[in-house]
Formats: sequence, C-alpha cells, structure tokens
Amino acid sequence: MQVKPVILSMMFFLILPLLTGCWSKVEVNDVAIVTAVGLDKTDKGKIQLSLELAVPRLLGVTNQSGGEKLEAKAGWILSAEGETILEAYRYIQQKVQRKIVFYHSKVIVIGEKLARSGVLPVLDFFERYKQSQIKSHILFAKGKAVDILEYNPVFEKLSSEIMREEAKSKKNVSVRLLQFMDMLVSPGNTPMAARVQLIPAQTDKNSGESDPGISKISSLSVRGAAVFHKDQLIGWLNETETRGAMWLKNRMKDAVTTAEVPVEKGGGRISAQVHTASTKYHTLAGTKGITITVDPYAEVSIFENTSKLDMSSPKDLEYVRTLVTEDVKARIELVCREAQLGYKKDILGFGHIIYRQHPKQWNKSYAKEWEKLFPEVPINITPHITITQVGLTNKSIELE
Amino acid sequence: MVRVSGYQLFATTVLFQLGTTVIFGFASPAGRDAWIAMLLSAFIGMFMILGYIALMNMMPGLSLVEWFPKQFGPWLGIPIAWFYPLLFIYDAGRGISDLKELVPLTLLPGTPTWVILGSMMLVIMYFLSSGVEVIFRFAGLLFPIIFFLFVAEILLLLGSRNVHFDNLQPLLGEGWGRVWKTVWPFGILQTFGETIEFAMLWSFLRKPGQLAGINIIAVLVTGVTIAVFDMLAIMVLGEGVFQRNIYPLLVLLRQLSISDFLDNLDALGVMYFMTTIFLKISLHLMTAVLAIQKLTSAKSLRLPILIVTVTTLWIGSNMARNVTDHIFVGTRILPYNLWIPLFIVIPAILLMVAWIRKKAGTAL
Amino acid sequence: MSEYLWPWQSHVFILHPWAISIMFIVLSLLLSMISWFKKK
Repeated sequence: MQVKPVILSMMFFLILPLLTGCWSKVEVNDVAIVTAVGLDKTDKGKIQLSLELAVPRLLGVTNQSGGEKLEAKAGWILSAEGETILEAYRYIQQKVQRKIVFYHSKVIVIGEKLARSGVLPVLDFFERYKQSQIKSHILFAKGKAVDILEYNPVFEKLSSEIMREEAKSKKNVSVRLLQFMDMLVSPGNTPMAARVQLIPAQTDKNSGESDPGISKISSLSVRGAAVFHKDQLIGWLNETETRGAMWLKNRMKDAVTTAEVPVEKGGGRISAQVHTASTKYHTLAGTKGITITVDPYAEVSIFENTSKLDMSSPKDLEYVRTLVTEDVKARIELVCREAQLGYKKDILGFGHIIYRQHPKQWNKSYAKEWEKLFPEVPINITPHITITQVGLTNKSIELE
Repeated sequence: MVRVSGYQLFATTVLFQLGTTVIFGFASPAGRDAWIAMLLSAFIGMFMILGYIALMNMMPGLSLVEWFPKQFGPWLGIPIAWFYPLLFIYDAGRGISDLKELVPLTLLPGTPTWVILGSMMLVIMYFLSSGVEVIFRFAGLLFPIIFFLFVAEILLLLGSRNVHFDNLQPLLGEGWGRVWKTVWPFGILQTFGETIEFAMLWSFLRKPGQLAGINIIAVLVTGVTIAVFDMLAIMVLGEGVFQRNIYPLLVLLRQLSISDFLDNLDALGVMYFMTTIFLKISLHLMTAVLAIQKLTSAKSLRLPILIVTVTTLWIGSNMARNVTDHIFVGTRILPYNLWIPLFIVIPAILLMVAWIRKKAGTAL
Repeated sequence: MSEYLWPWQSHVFILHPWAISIMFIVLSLLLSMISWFKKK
C-alpha cells in the first residue's frame, strides 16, 4: 500500500508531542524534598512524624559569619501526629503547598521512647510505600527525634547532611534500614544501630570557630550504638563498647587502637590503625553445650609510638603485636560481658551465628531456649592481628 | 519461506524464558535457597523441553497444533489443538496485566492505563504483522544489549559494598522442603513449560538438527542468569526483604548508587523488563496467531492478528483487580488448572501414543 | 474497568478455578467447528 507523504508527516507530527514525556512530569519547583524523617512517640501513644524539608532557595546561600540574623534555616522541620505514619504524613502534607517527596531522604531518626516501645510497627511504611526508603541510614536518638532534626548545624546547611556524613563514616556503626530489618528478622539475630544525640559543644571539636555572639550550646554526635531485644530498645553502648561490637558484627573498618606498654618495658603508648578487618566465628554446638570462638582478623599499621620499643626489631614488633592483640581482645570482651552479665540478653546477635553454623539444632532446640542459654555460653576471643606497616620511621625519637 | 538461524532461536528462547522473572525474581518462597530452586527447575525443565523436541522429531515438519490431529484424529485432535492458542492468549493477557501493575507503579504514575496498554498493543500488532522472521531478528539484536546490561548490573552490584555472601547461609538451612515446593509445579512450568509454544516455531529453524542443542544451551543460560540474579538479590537484600517484596529485583537495582550521584536505577530495570515482556507477549500472540492460521486454514494473518490483539488487550485490562489476586492466581491456581494438563499431561499422552504408533508402524 | 464476571479474571479464577477450563473446552469445540468446516 502506498502511503502518501502527507499522511506520513501528519503521523510524525502527531507522535512528536507524545515523545516529550510530559505526562506525569514532576518539576523540582513543585516538590518539597524530605531529607530526614524523624519518628517519636507522644505521651498519648500516637506517632509524631517530623520531616526535615530542604529549602533549595537557601541552600545556595553561603554562611556569612556574623550575619546570624538570618533566622531562616535551610532545613524546615514540620511535625504532625497521627495513629500511623501515613496519617501523620497526610497532616503534614496539608501544611505544605508542594508535594512531599521522599526520594532524597537519607536518614531516619527514631526517638528513644518509640524505640523502647517497639520499632516494628513503624518500619512497614518505609518498606512498602512507593518511594521506598530502605536505603536510608537508621539512627536512634537519645531523647526526641524532632530535637535532632531541629539542630542547626554550623558547617552544613541541614542537620540531615551532618547525620548522613557521620553515619557513613567508618568510625562508627552505620546501619541502613535494609540491614536493620534483616537483622530483626533473621533467626537468632538482634538489630543494632547508631546512636545520635545532642552534646555540649565545648567538649566536641566540631563547633569550629564560633563567633562569640552566638551561643552554640550543642553539637550533633553520631557515636555509640543502640542495642535491642527483639524490636525494643533496651540500652546504649558507649563508644568503646561500640568498637567491640563492631568487631563482632564484622563491621570494623577504620579504627585506632592504642595499647599501653607496661612500665617494665619502658612505658609509653603505641597506636595502631586498622586497615582491613574481618571476623570469623567457630562454634561448637553439641552434647557438651555451645561454645563460641570469635576470630577477628586484622591488619594494622603502627602510626604512633611513644615508647622505647624499636619498630625495626622483629622481637619488639612481635611484642607490640601481642599488645595490640590483647587490646582488641579486651575491647571485645568488654562488650561481651556487657551483653552476658549486664543486659543478660543477646544484644549482639550471637544466636544468628549459631543458626548459620548449626541450622538444624537451632531450629529444633536452641531457638526457644536461647534467652536462657546465652548468658552462660562461653565466648572465647582469639584475635589474629598482623602488623603490616610501621609508618616512616623505626625508632621513636628520644633524648640521649 | 521463513528461515531462522540457530543464534536467533537461541536468543529468542532465552529472552522469552527470562520474561517476567527479571523483575519478580524466581522462587522467592524458597527464601535464600531460591537460586537452588532455579537451577533445579532449569535442570528438570530441560528434560521437559527435550520431551517436546522428541515429539517434534517424531512428526517432522509439523507444528504443535498439527500434532494432535495427526495422532488423535481430527475429531479429538482438533479441539485439543485449539486449547493451545486459547491458553497462549490468556498467558499474553497475564503479561499485559503484569504491565498494568508495574508501569504505573514505577514509571508513569499519572498516565491512564488504556494509554499505556493501548500503545503497547499497537506496537505489538505492528510487530506481529511484520512476520515471524522479524521477531527472531529483533530478539537476536536485543539479546547482546540486554546481556550487556545484566553484566553491568552484576558488576556494579559486586563493586558496591553491599554484597554479603553470608546471607546465602545457612545453605538449605530450612531443608529441601521449601525448595521443592517452588520447583514443582510452578518453577518448571512457568519458564520452561511455556516453551512448548516454540513448537509452533521450531519448524522454521534452518538446521533442524540443532534444535536439541540450542534448547539445552538456552535453558542453561536462562537458568544460570536467573540464579545469579536471585543470589545477588539475596546477598544484597537479605532473605526477609527478598521474600516480602513483590518486585525484589527492582529493589535490588535501587540499592545501586554510583558514587552517591547516579541513584534510583530501578527505572532502568523497568525498561529491560519491558523489553523482555514485550517479546514474551509478542511470542505468545505470534504462536497463537500461527496456530489459528493452521487450524482455520486462513490465508493471511491479518484477521487473526487483529482479533487476537484486541482480545488480549481486553482480557488483560480487566483480568486483575489488584496485584495480590493476580499473583495468587498465577502461582497457586493457574499451574494446577491449566498448565499441568496442557504442558505435561496431554503432551505426555501424545508422546506415548506417537511412540506406540511408531513401534507398531515399524513392526508392520 | 468493567465489573463483569469472566473466568479469566483473577477474583473469579480464585473462587471457581474450573470455570476457565470449561470456557476453554466450550470455546475450543466451537472453534473446532470452523476447522472441521474448512477441512471439508
């Protein structure tokens, strides 16, 4: 069939507008971008949802010192209460002219009260809703989440940026919602996540040069961890204990361990930085009961030495290695003791290790009894540390 | 005469078998052992396909719908033969229904359904009118592109720090039970049982001797590809999310973020899903149309194509009220009611009859 | 979308799984008549 050129060109021009993809367009001007989500439990038992919305207009403005009269923050915090998250979200949407989108939300902060009462009910929304946020980092606030979101940072424009940078840093546990949910659901495992809190600025070096005219009373810190029993928050780990936990959970990435050299050997301290670390587990689960052996493997470099030991002497280096090994062992043991004697609950997810290595026995007997068994389980820690580098010098400088 | 090369048949078969599993994942009820279920399904499915090929070889030159009248006679054989185009149309409708759920969810939330599905069907109608050879050439062309995308996705995922091999353990910790439940009947039938459609097309192969070899390699490729994706999904998402999610491979893509900048790549996944499902629906319909042509001795394909396309659009649009019903039917009921009889029972009977006939024939 | 009840619809299929099989049998017999007619 011969098609006339006229018909062809007509079809061509008819199709053109369809190809521009304008149908469901979403312009940046029409949306309110959420950068952080905060969840709290109110006294009446409802959920308080707080959203930190980015105000693009103000994000480009450079922070001029002294010009703190600019009260408008780049992050706008909106809050509403509801029986469920979706309900609260609807209330907040009513307060904003633009459509709220969650696509760029990177952080979820959950307040302490809500966490203690059980975190499971609020997690579904983040997984199920179309703009799914399971990639967000999940942080638990000591206190109320909304206070954390309201924090007005110095270097960054948005508190969510700070939280995100801190959460991603390798110095602390960083858990994304996906991982959190996985830990919650896996047999024998318990979730753990980072803790965020407001602390006085004086003790924290992050406040930088503060203009005497401003009173920056607090700073945001993402350090330490939140520990759980099932889905309820039961306590916090401080920084040292968190380090031990990171070893156990195989999340140790970047850390500095400092070992003290005993006075007989000359005193002083040696600091080593961890390069690579992985933790393996050996478990025995038989008629004689369960034993867990933790084998952390790590490669470290010595970067500071204030002792009299000589880094170029294999004998001394070997001795340093044992010191570091002892240090790592002590850290891990610290948190294990905390779990077994302090909380008396498996907050570190040892059950999951047993499940992985002895699935049938776990399912048959241990699963139900784990809470009773755990505090008595012997946990042996045997670190395998290798010192790979010693920095640029061998002996430390000393006076003659 | 249409002549199809071995590579083209291979490419078409693989893309057809990949079909909807590139988004839905495979065997998610099996949890972290889903990839094992996939490999098993592929293995068993291969034998099933070899069975179809055996039938092909016993009745050389004949296509699927011609087998039944030949062995069972026209009064029984023809009604049985008609089941197949009807089933293929229904399966095509299911594919349309899948699209109806997925596209508004991910790509085009505001666009009315009839626009999305209507445009799709128009393209398919045009595609079918161009002839069988075009379909094979299209698949042959697209196959390297799709696989390049797959490899890129796999490499990106492996490169990100989100892959945890531990998630695959404990291997078969929950036993073989849940693996077998997904393999039979759904696992085998969905991807490999549907390959019986190709029996309408195998007579086009240039070198018929290659038929078995090509299909074996195709099954291997499909099986390994899907198993690898299942494995990746489990390693990145963990068993819980993998099972709970309706579109796990889409969520998997969302996890990718290239230097924190290129994000939310699931739209890309939807696009290659659209390619595979476009091809699958087209193949469902092409084989239905060819079957109708053979059964009605029609001269041109125009009318069957039109009828079939419109019918599919209609039933696909009103088939499912929601995703839950749709998936429930597809995994729990459909395999038992339609697929087992049509993909396994009837061909098995056919095989026996044909074999007995052959033996009796040579004895005479 | 239409609220008719057809055997291929999911909600019908769930309640009456055999309905679509019956429909197939009926349809195939009807369509076979075309084939038989054409063969004559």
